[in-house]
Parts: sequence; structure tokens; C-alpha cells
Amino acid sequence: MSQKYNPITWRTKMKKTSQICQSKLPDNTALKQQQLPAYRLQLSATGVLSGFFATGAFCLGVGIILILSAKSIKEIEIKYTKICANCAELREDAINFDKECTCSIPFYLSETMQGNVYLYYKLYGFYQNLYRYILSRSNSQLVGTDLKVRLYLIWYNTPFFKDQSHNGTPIAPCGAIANSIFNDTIILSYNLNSSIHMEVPMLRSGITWWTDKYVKFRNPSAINLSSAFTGTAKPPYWSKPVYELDLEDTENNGFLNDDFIVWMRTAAFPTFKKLYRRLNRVQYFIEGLPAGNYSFNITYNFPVTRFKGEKSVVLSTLTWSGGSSLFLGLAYTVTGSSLPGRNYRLSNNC
Amino acid sequence: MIHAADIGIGISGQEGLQAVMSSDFAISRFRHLKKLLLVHGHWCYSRLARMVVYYFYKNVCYVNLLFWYQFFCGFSGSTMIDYWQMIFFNLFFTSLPPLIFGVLDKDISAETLLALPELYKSGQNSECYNSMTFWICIVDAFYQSLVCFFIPYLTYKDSDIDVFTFGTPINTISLATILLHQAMEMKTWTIIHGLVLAGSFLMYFVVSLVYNAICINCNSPTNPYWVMEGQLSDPTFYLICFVTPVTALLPRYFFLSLQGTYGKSLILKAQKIDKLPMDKRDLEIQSWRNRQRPAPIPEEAQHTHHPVPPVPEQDFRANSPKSSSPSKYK
Repeated sequence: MSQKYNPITWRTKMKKTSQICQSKLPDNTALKQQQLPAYRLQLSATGVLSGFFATGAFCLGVGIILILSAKSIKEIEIKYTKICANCAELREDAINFDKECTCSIPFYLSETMQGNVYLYYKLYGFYQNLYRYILSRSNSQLVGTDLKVRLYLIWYNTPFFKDQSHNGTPIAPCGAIANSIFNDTIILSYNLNSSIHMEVPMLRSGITWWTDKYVKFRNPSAINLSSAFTGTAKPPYWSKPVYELDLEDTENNGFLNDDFIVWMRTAAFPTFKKLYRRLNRVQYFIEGLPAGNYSFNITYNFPVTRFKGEKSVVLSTLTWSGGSSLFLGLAYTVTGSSLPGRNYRLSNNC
Repeated sequence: MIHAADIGIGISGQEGLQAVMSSDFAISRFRHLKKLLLVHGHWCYSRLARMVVYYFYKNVCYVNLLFWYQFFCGFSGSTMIDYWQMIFFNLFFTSLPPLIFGVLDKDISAETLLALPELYKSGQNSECYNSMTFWICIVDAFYQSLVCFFIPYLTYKDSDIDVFTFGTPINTISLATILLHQAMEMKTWTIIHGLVLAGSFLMYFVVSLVYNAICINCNSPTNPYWVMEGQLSDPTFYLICFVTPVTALLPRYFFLSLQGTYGKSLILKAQKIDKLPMDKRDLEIQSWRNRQRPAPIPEEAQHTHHPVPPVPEQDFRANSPKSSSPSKYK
């Protein structure tokens, strides 16, 4: 074997090696060579300036519209825990659960509330968003598939799932959320003059989400509701069982009760309001609530003083932009006026 | 030596493939080393550093939303965002854009990097990822999460909104803010960047709508049935989703603009050069290189007045021995 350096053999070897090397090269595509057509953002001063001015003007306009619409809402709120102090004190002791306590709160409406009027109850300091509280429900029971709660995966809610005083029968509806339902009754009456007091007609229906009432909450099917709920017990804090919540209207009885559904939608903050009734615009109240003397007659049941909470009742009109909160309008106005203020410092955006 | 170094580069050649096999990068010619260091080295550092800083920002910003909510739920640990949507947020909706950014972004073009080797010092001095940039990014994340939480909170404060309906605009807003932040970081936009950003945002809505239309009784305690659909038909949702990202990103935009105008770092100057048209760019690079050199000797002056030819690597290959040799004689 010759160890001599053979130039011809070396040249062919290099050609072969270079051919092999060729095949190891990455593809000469735009992606792999990082040569994709690229666009470098060229923010010209005029472009950015006009953009900022346009956005600022838009924000300012929307802000003013929002503030005006929020100001046009009429709202009246009456806190009644202190006014009904005797009832509140009565309710501090659970022994008095069967003693009824009513409270009357007169007030004067200075302007007519035009259009649809909504009656809310508002709670302060009630944490419906506590983690264990939110978990304490059985959605399969409420949707009608698992009435006796045979498969419950939540293990620490036993107090409200099985009624220990009645041989452990399952509770319907189970859970702490259902158990703590708001049970004050609020009646609004209008004093036309010193002798005529009329109860303002209110609608109990139409206060929930459509999907809640017709999809997520279903009564167990049976001929009559009380037989559908045999084998279950009522929650400990309730005075009547779930199939007696509204004996006049089968669409509002059982799990389909509007007040129940509204309460089961756990509020996001410790201060919240929930829709209670809507004005029924008939007879005298076709235009809304006329100005004049009114009074709330409240059957006080829900105890709040033990956790230093408060209750109030709210009457309000609504617009397309929601409630009477001025915040969003102010936020838009402030943003709209500060945007053009920053534009003169603009140059190349790095 | 290749093993001992942080990055070992082997050059394949006639002496065998031993160096190549034990190296991190392998090249076939010595002249490739210049582009490997100045261009790819710089890009690698810049992309990785900014991507890592961005990931820190993204996670601090998102998780802090849950933290601010604890002040209003008695510190009991309830989350106002459905946990599947939380998981998908980090898994699908905000994972691709920073990855694409980390793979494809070019903060300075290859030609400028090759022509101005001083820019390589930014990597050596850790200019993209040091204490200062990290803490600024974390403070920015805190501020943005404050804005993303409190603007919706103050809007919905005394209303009758429920927990998971409150979480939906917050989730959407933080997604928009985080993606727009990424968009502000990207220096060069290819079609992939655009598709991935727009696609992530759209995918969020599609997934959310489908999930909220199917899940009647699947995910206790959320059961987000019809929550997103309800929000999309509420004008307040759109109003908050517009004003909040704008407010959240305004300080950052302001800071970047100030930096762009008054910043003195080499990288910023190079980026300004990149924005000029081709002929002005060459002149700028020339004047920069003239400033770097001391008073030139007449023969060398001829070399430096040779205009820097644009792009393809082959031209630089032809040019580099000539242009680098004067520096040897400095």
C-alpha cells in the first residue's frame, strides 16, 4: 500500500467531501436563512401624532357620553339595618326565628323615575366570594340530574349536604350558598294622599339570566313538585321547603324560583346588590314611578349585625351603559385628555 | 479548550472532525466566525435575554391579578378566573408569540452588525438583562396588573356582577395587554409574527366561546355557561377592554419613546441607522467608523473612504480583510 500523497485521489476525495458537506447545509429558504421579508415599524411623527390625537378625541368623547348617561340615572338607596334596629337585635339570636318582625321606612321621591325601575337589595360585608362558600353547591342537583346528591366530590360541606337531624336525608338544595338565601320581603307602597296607600305592582319574573332559568336550573321531573322532592329535606335555615317557594306560579317554584337563582349567582365583591323586583308598568305607574311619598314595608329576616354587615334597598333606573357608576366615564375622560399631552415627546419608537 | 469555554466553536477541516464533534457550534471556514459572533451571537443574546425578561413580566402580571382579588374575597384563595382558562392562558394564548420573538426577532440588521463590531460589546456588558432591566420589568408588571385589575373593579364595584363574570373581562384585558406588550417589544415584523399575535388573540375568543357554550355542568364551581357570550353583548365589556390596555401600556410606551429620543446606548444609535434608507445608512456607518479611528495615515484614509457595500455576505467576505487590516495597525 502506497503512503505517497496522490493529488488525483485527494481532489476526488475533496469533491466527494464537499458534496457530502453540501447535503448538510440548511435549506436555502427564507425562513431558515432568516431572510423572511420583514417590516420594521417606522413610526413617523405625523402618523403617531395623528393616531394619539384621534384616540384622545375618541376617549374624550366616549367619556363625556358615559358621564352624561350615568348622571341621567336616578337612584335612591336606603340603608335599613339601623332604622330597623329592633328587628336587627331580634334576629341576632336564632331562638327568635319564628317571631315575625316588620319595619316600615317612609321616604319621599322628589323626581319621577321615568322608564323601567328596578328594585335591588344591597348587602355590605357579606363575602359571597369566599372560596369554600363558592364551592358549596351541587350543580348536578340544580340541573335536575342528581337530586339526592349521590356523587358529591366536595367533602367539607357536610353540614349543608345531609340533614343530620332527620337520619341523614340529603338536603335539597344543598350547600351553604342555598342555605344562606336572602329572605327579607320588601314591599313598596305609594301614598297617593294621606288616606290612599297602594302597593306598587312589581314583577317577580325576568330578573335572572335566561340561561340560568331555562338551562342550568331544572326541577326534577314529576307530576307535582312536592312528590318530586320526596326523600329530601329542606336546608336548615329555610322556613319552608323548596317546592313551596312560590305556590302561585309553577314556573317560579322549586329550583326555578327567580329569587333563588339570583342568589345562587355568587357576587364578586363583599358589597353587592342583587335584583329583587322590577316595576310592573301598569295603571298608575305606566310612565315609571311618579314623584311623591312612598314607603318600604320590610319583613326583616336576614341577620347581618353579627358580622357587622348592613342591608339596604335600592331603587334605580338603568341605561345602556349599566349603572350609575361614574368611574368608567371619568377614566375615559382622563385618558382622553392625557393622551394628546404625551404626543409632543414622541419621536422614533425604539 | 472547547469543553472549558462557555461556547465552543469547532472548525471542520482536513485535520479531522474531532473539534467539530466536541463543540457547540461547528463551522467550515474561519471567515464564518465573524458572522457567527457579530451577527448570530448578538442576536442570540438579545433574543434570549429579552424573551426571558418578557416571561418574568408575563407571569408576574397575570398572577398578580389573582393576588389583588384576594383583598376582596377575604384572602380565602378564590380565583375569579375559571381555572381551565387560566391554564390555557399560559399554555396556548401567550406561549407562541414570545417563542416566535425568541427565534426570529432581529433588533439590528445583519449588515449593520457586521459593519459596526462595537455593537458586540452590548452582549459582553449584559446590557439586555441586568439587575436594572429585570427590576424595571417587574415594577412594570406590578403596575400593569394593578391597572388591569382595578379599572374593572372600580367599574363593577357596587353592581350585581358575579365572580366569574367579573373574571372574564379581566382575563381578556390581561391577554390584550400582554400581547400588546409583546408587540411593542418586537423590532422586525414578519408574516409569522403577525399571524401568531393575531392568531393567539382570536384563538382565545374562539376557545372561550366554545367552552362557555358547552360547559353547563362540567367545572365546579365555575360552570361558565354563557358567561363570555353574555359579556360580548354588553357594551361595558368593550369599553373596559379598550381603555385598560391603553392605560396599562402608556407608561411603557412613554418610556420607550423617551429612550428612543434621548438614549445614548450604541444599540439605539444602530437601530436609528437601520431605519434610514440605504445610501444614508452607508454614510452614517462611515462617519461612525471615522469617529472610532484616530487621525488616519494617508494610505489608510483611502481604505476608510471606501464605501461600505450593502448586504450579501460574499461582498463582505471580499471586503473584510481590507477593512479589518487598518484596525490591526491602530
